Amino acid sequence: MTTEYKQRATIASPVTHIADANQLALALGESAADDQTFGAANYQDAQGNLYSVSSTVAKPIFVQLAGQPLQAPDHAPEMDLEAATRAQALVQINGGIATPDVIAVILVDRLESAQDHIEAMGLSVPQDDLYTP
Amino acid sequence: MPISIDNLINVNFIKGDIDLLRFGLNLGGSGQHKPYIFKPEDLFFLGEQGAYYSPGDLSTLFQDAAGTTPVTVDGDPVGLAVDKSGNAVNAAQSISASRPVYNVDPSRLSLDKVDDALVITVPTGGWIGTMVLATNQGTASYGVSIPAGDYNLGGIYFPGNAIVGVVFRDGALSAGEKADAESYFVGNGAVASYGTVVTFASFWRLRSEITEFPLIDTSSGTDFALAWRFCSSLTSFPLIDTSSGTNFNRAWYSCSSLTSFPLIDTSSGTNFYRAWYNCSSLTSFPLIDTSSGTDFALAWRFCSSLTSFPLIDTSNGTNFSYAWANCTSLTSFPLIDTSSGTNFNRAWANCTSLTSFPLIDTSSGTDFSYTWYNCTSLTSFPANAFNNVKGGDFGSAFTNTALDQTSIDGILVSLVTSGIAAGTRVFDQTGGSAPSVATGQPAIDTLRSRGWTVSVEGGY
Repeated sequence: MTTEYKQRATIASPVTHIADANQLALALGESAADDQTFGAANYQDAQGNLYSVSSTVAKPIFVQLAGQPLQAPDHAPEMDLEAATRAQALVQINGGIATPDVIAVILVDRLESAQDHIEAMGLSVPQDDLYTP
Repeated sequence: MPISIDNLINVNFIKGDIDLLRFGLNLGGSGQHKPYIFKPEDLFFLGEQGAYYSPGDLSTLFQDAAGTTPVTVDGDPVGLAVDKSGNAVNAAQSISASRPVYNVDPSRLSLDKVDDALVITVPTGGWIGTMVLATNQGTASYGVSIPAGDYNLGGIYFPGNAIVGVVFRDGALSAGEKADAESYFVGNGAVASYGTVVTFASFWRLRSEITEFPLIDTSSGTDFALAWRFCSSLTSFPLIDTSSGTNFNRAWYSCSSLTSFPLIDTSSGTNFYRAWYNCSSLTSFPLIDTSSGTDFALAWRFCSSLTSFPLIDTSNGTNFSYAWANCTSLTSFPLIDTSSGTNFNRAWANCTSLTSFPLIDTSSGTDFSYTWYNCTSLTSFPANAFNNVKGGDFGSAFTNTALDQTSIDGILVSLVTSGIAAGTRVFDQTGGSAPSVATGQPAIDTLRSRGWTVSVEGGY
């Protein structure tokens, strides 16, 4: 027997799209708490644009769900479908580095490292500010 | 009076050691003495508070936080780990994408170090005791103080990539109990020592719950950047082996409760940028080997309890920007070797208790802006200090100081001696005495004739 979660998805939401990305996570996820998937924008690209990053193991159906018309799942019947659909339109799977106008997704085998994905997206945690813990 | 077995048991209960359990189990044998085999559950034998999570026990793992779908195979996400201590303090994660992953060989909870974490709701009263954390990169026991409320087991910073087992015990474990627990987890596949780890960057970052850090093997570590940043409850630090360490960038940043620091081996260290920044409770600092260090920017800034500073080797240091800024309790400063230093921007700014300053080598320095800014007690400054400087940026260098006339005269004459007549040529002084008519003012005239903008106390 093998796990249903055969892939790893690492997703970078630009800071301006976090609210919509959380609604998309709610639609594609498995829990009513998935609207908290994208938290603080702790990563930045080379230009200093900020992103919230999440990484998770995913079922193969994830890529199909991400590309078809969204429906409110049983765990979140009152979710904001408009917001989720806006985010869905920005999703770019395996498209390279993160940019502020797309929600970049790296979707590959589950054994790959989220840290490698973040590096491949051109993102890093800013270290030079005085007050970031 | 003879001591009864009941009295003996009571005595041992008060000691709170699992020796009693061993004793009792051996007594309870049916004629055959079976060897006592430690289990972490034994640490809660007397009803002690805490929690224990064991990925090796698949019956305690579920994919969802509600505990409806069991974890069955390698690769399943883990939304709930049931507490095995008997205290029913389960660890859960309700956000799908933040669930760790169950892996085998050894059984463990793998963390992506992006957002994976299990949330433990620590009960009222919190836990003050010991955390035994066994990972795929090392195993160690820490003194901890965890307040009531949500506690994240995992997260972006963690001393390992996977959890093989973890115990939280309210009430400190004895050395023997720690050793037993660590051995148990190592027997289940955890890596015993951190001795092969090269990069410790951010390993214990933000672990403000750690009150006591163990003497672990860090002998292979080269990168200690941000390793203990914001470990704000540590009051002391062990003499770990940092002899291979090159990067100490922000290593102990804001360890604001440290009152002392050991004489660790930093002889290979080149980067000390903000290494002890805001270690505001340090009252002394050891004579560590900083002879390879080049970047000391902000290294001891806001170490506001230091009253003295050792004669460390800074001969290769180039950047001293803000290095001792806001060390407000320093009353004196040693004659360190700053001969390679180029950037002294704000190096001793706001050292408000300094009354005098040594004749350091400033010959490579190009930026002295704000260097002694707001050293409000600084009355005495050596002559000839700037005879060989390479740059003329002294903007606000002596603003709000208390220089006596001999000192300000000497500084101005020294700048004349430097011969600088190009580039940035700014000098500022306020507070203390005005330059003398006989010596200071002619020096100002000469500097101005060379293109300097000079502003001094008294307005000349």
